[in-house]
Amino acid sequence: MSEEQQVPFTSQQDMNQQDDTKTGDPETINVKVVSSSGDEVFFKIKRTTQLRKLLGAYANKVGKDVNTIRFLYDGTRISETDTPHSLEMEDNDTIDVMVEQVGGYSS
Amino acid sequence: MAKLTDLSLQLSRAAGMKTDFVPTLSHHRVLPSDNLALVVLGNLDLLLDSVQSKIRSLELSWGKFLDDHPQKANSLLNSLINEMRAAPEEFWKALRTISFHDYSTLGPGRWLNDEILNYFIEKWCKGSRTLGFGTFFAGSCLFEDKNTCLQAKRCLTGEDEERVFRCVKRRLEMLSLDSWDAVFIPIHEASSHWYSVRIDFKLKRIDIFDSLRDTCISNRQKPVPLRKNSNLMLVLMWLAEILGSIRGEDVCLTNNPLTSWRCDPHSKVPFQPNTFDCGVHTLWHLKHILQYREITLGKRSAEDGLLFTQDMAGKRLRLAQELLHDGKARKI
Repeated sequence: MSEEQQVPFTSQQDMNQQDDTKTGDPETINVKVVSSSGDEVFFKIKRTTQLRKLLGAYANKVGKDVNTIRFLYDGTRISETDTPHSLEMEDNDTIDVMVEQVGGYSS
Repeated sequence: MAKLTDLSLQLSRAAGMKTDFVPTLSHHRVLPSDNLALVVLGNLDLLLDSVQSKIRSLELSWGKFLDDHPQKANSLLNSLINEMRAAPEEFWKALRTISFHDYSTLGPGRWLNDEILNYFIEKWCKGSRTLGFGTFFAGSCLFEDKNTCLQAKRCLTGEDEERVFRCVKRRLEMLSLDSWDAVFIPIHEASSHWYSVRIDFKLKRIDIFDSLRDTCISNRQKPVPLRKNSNLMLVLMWLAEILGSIRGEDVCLTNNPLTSWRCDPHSKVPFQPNTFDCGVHTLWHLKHILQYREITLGKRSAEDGLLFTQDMAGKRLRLAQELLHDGKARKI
């Protein structure tokens, strides 16, 4: 797990390996996933694919449980059934990753 | 104690009513005339009314009892959370975003987490007139650093404006809001504190609600430009103008000393006497906004069971019970 985290986050993950997608395919977009510390992972995903797949792949890559991190697009939570199409995402858009927020008191 | 006896008496009657009612239904015959049918319907309506008002009064007495006995509320809350540890997976699936870990942050003295706040903001604002944002909105749109939410944005660009437009559009769809005239924004500060912002287009007000006594008192003694939240207020004025344009209303606050809007960077709200209740206070700010448009103290909120209390243990238990109810009632 720790090895995974040391991988520099620049590799490109192809989410549609089986689908023979070519670059420049209008049905496919590139999405950048940015962690709260600024690390970036790039994904290529079909517009109609549920983001569940991408979220799971990201969590796997950074060695975290998918339920402990929150994925946001434009400041709003992404749900597993959302697709790039349903969120009207464009090529090279960013998904932000945040961790749990807790609060009680600020000293 | 008398109150409890009264409560249990009322509850025992309710059970009796049910056992009487079920055999009556099974002996039910076809009604001889339409008129009689109307009378029966009218009676059923009355019955429904009286049951509903009974439920309401029971809930109020229950809330009051919990407010009066926070220690009892805490021990009940502890046992409830312990029981929930064994809740079936379907229960959590029905609640979707809430897991046992999130649920347990409602426990006595615990710090509420984002999932709990987001659940109630979404649920309570759905179909209301208040556009309630999630806990990540402020970090994404209003602050320099999305993680700490300490320094409000100093430079606002067209891109920031676009982002707000997109956030609002998605949120309105999510909450199924057609018409709205108030906005609620929770803020998660320095990874440790919850407070909130309210923008009201009807009252023409922007308020920041913070339950921390020290912040409020030291803030009021400082000159305006040095006060905490002064920069945030500038960003909120910008936000109010954008939201106004989405509503089709011309709001002009920048460099406009003649505006009729009032902006209070530290509105007076009840303080938390402890180091853990700010999340509950923040949710209670929203409850009051939805019910009264304003933070309302004293008799009126007591009558509605919404009084801010020294110890918010009773409110924690009520929130935990609301989740329990939702998880059981909802189909997956």
